[in-house]
Amino acid sequence: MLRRDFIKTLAAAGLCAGQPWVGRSAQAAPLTSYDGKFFVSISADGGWDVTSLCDPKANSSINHWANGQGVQSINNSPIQYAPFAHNQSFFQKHHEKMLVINGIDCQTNAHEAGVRHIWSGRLAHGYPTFSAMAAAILGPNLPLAYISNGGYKETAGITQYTLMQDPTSLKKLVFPNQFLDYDPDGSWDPAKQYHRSGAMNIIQQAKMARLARLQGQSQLTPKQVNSLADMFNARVGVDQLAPLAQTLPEELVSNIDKDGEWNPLMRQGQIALAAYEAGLCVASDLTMWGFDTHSNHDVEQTTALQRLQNGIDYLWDEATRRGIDDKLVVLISSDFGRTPLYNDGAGKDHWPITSTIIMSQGETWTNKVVGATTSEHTALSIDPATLALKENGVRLQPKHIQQAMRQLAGIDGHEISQLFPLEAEDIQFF
Amino acid sequence: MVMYKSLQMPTTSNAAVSYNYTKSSGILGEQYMVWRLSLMQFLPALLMVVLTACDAPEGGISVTPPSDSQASSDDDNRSQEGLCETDTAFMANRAWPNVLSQCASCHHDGGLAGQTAFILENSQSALEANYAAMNAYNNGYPNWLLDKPMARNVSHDGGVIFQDGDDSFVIMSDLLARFDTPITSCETDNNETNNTSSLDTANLLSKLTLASPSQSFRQAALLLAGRLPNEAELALITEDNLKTHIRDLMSGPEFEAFLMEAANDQLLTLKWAGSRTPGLSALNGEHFYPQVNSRISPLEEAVTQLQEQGSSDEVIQAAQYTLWETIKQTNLALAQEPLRLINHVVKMERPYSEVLTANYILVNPYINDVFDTKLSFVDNQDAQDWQAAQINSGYRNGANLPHTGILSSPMFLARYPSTDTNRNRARARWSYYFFLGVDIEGLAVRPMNSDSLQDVDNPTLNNPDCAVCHEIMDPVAGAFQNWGNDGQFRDQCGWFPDSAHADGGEWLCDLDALPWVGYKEFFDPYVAGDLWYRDMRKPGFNGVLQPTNQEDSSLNWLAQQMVQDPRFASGTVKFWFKGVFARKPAPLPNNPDDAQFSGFMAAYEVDNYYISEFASAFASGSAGTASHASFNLKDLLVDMLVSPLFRAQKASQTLNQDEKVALSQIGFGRLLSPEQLNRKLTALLGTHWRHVWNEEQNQLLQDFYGFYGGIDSDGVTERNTRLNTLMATVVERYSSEMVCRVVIDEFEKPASQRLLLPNVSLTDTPQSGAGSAAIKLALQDLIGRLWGSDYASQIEVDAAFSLLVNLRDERLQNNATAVLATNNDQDINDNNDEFCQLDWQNPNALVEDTNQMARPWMGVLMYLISDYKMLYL
Repeated sequence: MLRRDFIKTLAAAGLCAGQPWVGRSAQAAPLTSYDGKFFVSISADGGWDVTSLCDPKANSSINHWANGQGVQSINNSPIQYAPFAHNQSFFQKHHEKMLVINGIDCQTNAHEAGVRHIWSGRLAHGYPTFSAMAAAILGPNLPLAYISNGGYKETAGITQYTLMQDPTSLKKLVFPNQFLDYDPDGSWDPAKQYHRSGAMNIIQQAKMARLARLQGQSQLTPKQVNSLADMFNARVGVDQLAPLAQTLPEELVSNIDKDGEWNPLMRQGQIALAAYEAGLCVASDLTMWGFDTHSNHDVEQTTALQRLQNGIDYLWDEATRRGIDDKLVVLISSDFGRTPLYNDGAGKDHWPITSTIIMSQGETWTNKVVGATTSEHTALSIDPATLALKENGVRLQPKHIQQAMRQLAGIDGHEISQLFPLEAEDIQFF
Repeated sequence: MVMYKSLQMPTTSNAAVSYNYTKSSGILGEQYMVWRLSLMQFLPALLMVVLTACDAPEGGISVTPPSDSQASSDDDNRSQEGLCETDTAFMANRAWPNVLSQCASCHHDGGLAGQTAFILENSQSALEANYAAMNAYNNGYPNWLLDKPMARNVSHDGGVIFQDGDDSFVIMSDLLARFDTPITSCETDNNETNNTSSLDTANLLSKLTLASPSQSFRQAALLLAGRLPNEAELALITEDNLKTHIRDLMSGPEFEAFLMEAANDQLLTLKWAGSRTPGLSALNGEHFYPQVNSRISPLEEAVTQLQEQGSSDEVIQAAQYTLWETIKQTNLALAQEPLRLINHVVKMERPYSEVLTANYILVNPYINDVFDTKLSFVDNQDAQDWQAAQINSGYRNGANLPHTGILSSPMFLARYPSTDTNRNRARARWSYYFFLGVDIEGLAVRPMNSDSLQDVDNPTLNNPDCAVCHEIMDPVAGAFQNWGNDGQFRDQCGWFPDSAHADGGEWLCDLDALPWVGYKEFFDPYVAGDLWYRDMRKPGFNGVLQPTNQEDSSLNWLAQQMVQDPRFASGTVKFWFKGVFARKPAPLPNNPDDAQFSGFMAAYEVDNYYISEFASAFASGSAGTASHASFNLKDLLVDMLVSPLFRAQKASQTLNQDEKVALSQIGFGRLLSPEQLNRKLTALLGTHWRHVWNEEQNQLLQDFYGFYGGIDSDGVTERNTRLNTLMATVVERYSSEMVCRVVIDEFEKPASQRLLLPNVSLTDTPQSGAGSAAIKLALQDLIGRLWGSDYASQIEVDAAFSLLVNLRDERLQNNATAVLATNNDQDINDNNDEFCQLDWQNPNALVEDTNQMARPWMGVLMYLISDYKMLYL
């Protein structure tokens, strides 16, 4: 049943479909497909070590790899990297797509606060992620506008997220009335539906009318109003999933990456791209863990970074294969950074200064580095207009990154954005 | 308690810093290498950090100092020349949100400053009381309301909160002036300022109507027992006996499932039940648990032998299945063990404190073998048979492990591991959170001084910015001193100097949990025989040091302290809040400029009010039916289930936006979890959502569990509690797939054995009056069974009847087949396909329905089991 039919029916019944309190105007034309930029946020959970990544410190007290190796450079690029993990292949392949932002002060060493700060732009509770904001503004009626694979996913009520786990059964949900438990290449040709289409139409109409009666009851509590609205929106979205059948992979990518590590990041990316290609998704959060390397840092951080890089590699390769790499915008960051020294357990502890990498293809603002840190990895401030280092300039914080993403998405002036002001100086990243 | 304030200074130092590598010869001794930070530029005013405490529910409090934008937004509300503002309005609009809420977060009973003379009520509803309290304090300590937060001539453990000329200073000065010259009214032409808040808790609750006792009991039965009560049961329920009847629901496997699911939603130990992170691996092998493989090894050998002997595939597969099943059951039992302890304490109606103080663990036959607890079981394969046991010979060297309830549970310790630098702080943090309801990380949500964050001179001990949380956390971390990073007891080795020994000492193990590499090896500050780090705060709790004679049982000592702490009761309420109400308590909002701040604050106060009420009754023994001892969890659950937080069913039509926000999480309308929905479907339909080729496979709990909001206790730890599109498709799918077999099974049974349609047959059609009447009566019963009798109104019966008629008419008009499964190969499309598993081999099976009634009944059942009343409580 299409959304417009649903709404017409409700209007005929003199009722309004329940809508969440913010941002989903009943007057807005329903969006059935989205083909704007696709925003993928990748979280390196636990606090990654950027001095071994994109803000390299060739000091053997900070990094053991500095015993014999130095900072690596790329021809015709200001981007530098550490000789660590898969950095060489990663940066050589992707540097032209990268804006590296160094010297971001997360102002905390606590995981939850750091995660919240980096992904919402505010240390305190209550602000949505950029992904939630983009989904709410750019894809308000899309059934999979915001896909999460875990991690920080605060929506502040402006949208809903879909938690995407183990997509092996996803196709059965795209066609809930279809019988699919048979071998399509086999000789048995069973009935393809559980119920005839005529019956399904009648049942759906009866369900719509029933929902309208429920929503029309008097003296509903706010919780009931909201839950009925959720049900309305969820049901309307069911019929919109059909395009996903065309874009879902026949075979899911293996969870084992080229290093032999269990690496779900690849499959997260595969499904996110499929949802986007189907026109149903605006933003997706992907998650890779293992960066909280308080002990055995060199080994553990290498493994975590390699998994991350393998996953990002796959994401771009798959986007290219699908012909949507020109739409992809990737934001990679972490709770905070790691200390510029080793502890007694050969680990590194929490450090408030971190970096972020924004990736996009064919932009004038990529293949650049903004922000810097000292040799001891403390943040330096910049001129917000020229981006040059400047004493008494602006010290980059997560709010500047979040503000930048809103600008990139063209949503910074939207009323929803205004509800969650970042009060960030305007940094001319782009 | 220390308080700090964040001030954005006019210019921020961008000083480059130099780092000197020096050895500190301070308290840490000669060999301790530290970073020393020196600023090349130093500004007179530094960025400092305000911490506002502390005894807050999760989410904590973050402090945003009055910003310029906030100041400008307050212009309209400031007392200005010519503008009058009563004391009440001043308190509500300016003093409380901008200043006093911060003070109150520490200065309240039980707060970090709860022992001082300056005590407020931590509620925006208590403005009058707080005004009086501050006035009284000012009388006793003139001007200290300014001097203390400014640290002006008098010390303040909370540090400097504001300075001369700040907005907070202005507000506080205004308040002191009002003590001298109160403003109780303002002359206005027409309007009196409305100074009362419609968001007062009592006022908000007055706008709610509770469900009737029978409706409330029904909801509780669904939650606790996974069933709908019958009409006879419901007829007995009154307001007077509601608590008793709810309490009577608290037994049986469904109640145990509710308890353990709710507990795991917090503790997340079921992470260890999976094959990717098996519990067996967390025990670190036979080195610590010599019998860990005692049940599994023989099975592995058996498989190997059968393979070597060239046994048949069937025999080998059977042996492999037994092995895998044993491993699976063992991992599951390990993961469940702390949850089973909770279940045991509640089931036996022991004081809930025993979840921390128990000197035993729960084992079933599988982990009885792992831990070698030497219990006997009637059936050594019965995974549901759990008994209390102690680990003695089962641990390395036969150590008598000092069991301390959940705190010493192997899987709890493994779920919250430590490292050589973390030093049990994570365990301390989570212990505070789960059992005292204190979110330590949430105590200090504020932009931190970058110098402090980059301080590496043992900042958790020396830096006030860090110590404010670590003062609370580190002593408790010390109480875990005997448990190693992975949760094994005294798992480390070290060199113990002994001049009497020929070698000058000896290498000994099992005496402590301190790491040799990176700590003990330096013998500075470590001294042989130490159990805890000398460069950390001593083990203790809440300002009390652990007695030295408690070192061997430090965790037991901690448990005793915790259960006697007043916060244990409220902590227990907060632990079970999510299980009962499917949500966390509303957090304290921390920025008055945030949209809907007032509504969020009111929501917090409502929850906080009830948390206090529940906790007080729980601790005093007056909870529930008040006929059991204190700290009986069943009675706490009863109180929670009869409260408006659970029972609110209707609301006044005149709610304003703030009130809607304040009440948005209260009462009916919570989505059932996949486990709860599964129990409901099974109870109502007599079957779970089976896989077509494997009846044991439960699709809702397996194939689609994650999609419907389930968690894996590892990467996904929060349930999705709002229905989204993918979840709705799960509902579509189960309702499509289940109904065929359910309806056919019904009509294949004699009427007396049916669950759903005992009073109607397939020969009853709408074409006759008698048939219509029978159908409508059956629909009324069916709706009553599935949704509740209160919802089987005439409108809904008629709607369901219309649906059935329409479905039948559609079949008749389109010459649909009477065979109950069809795949019309002649069609170029599949629109008329109808899949159903029919028993073609059984001549008595129902495979055809000439009256065209079976398929319409399936359609009606689909409609009913995918309804809001099925999915939501």
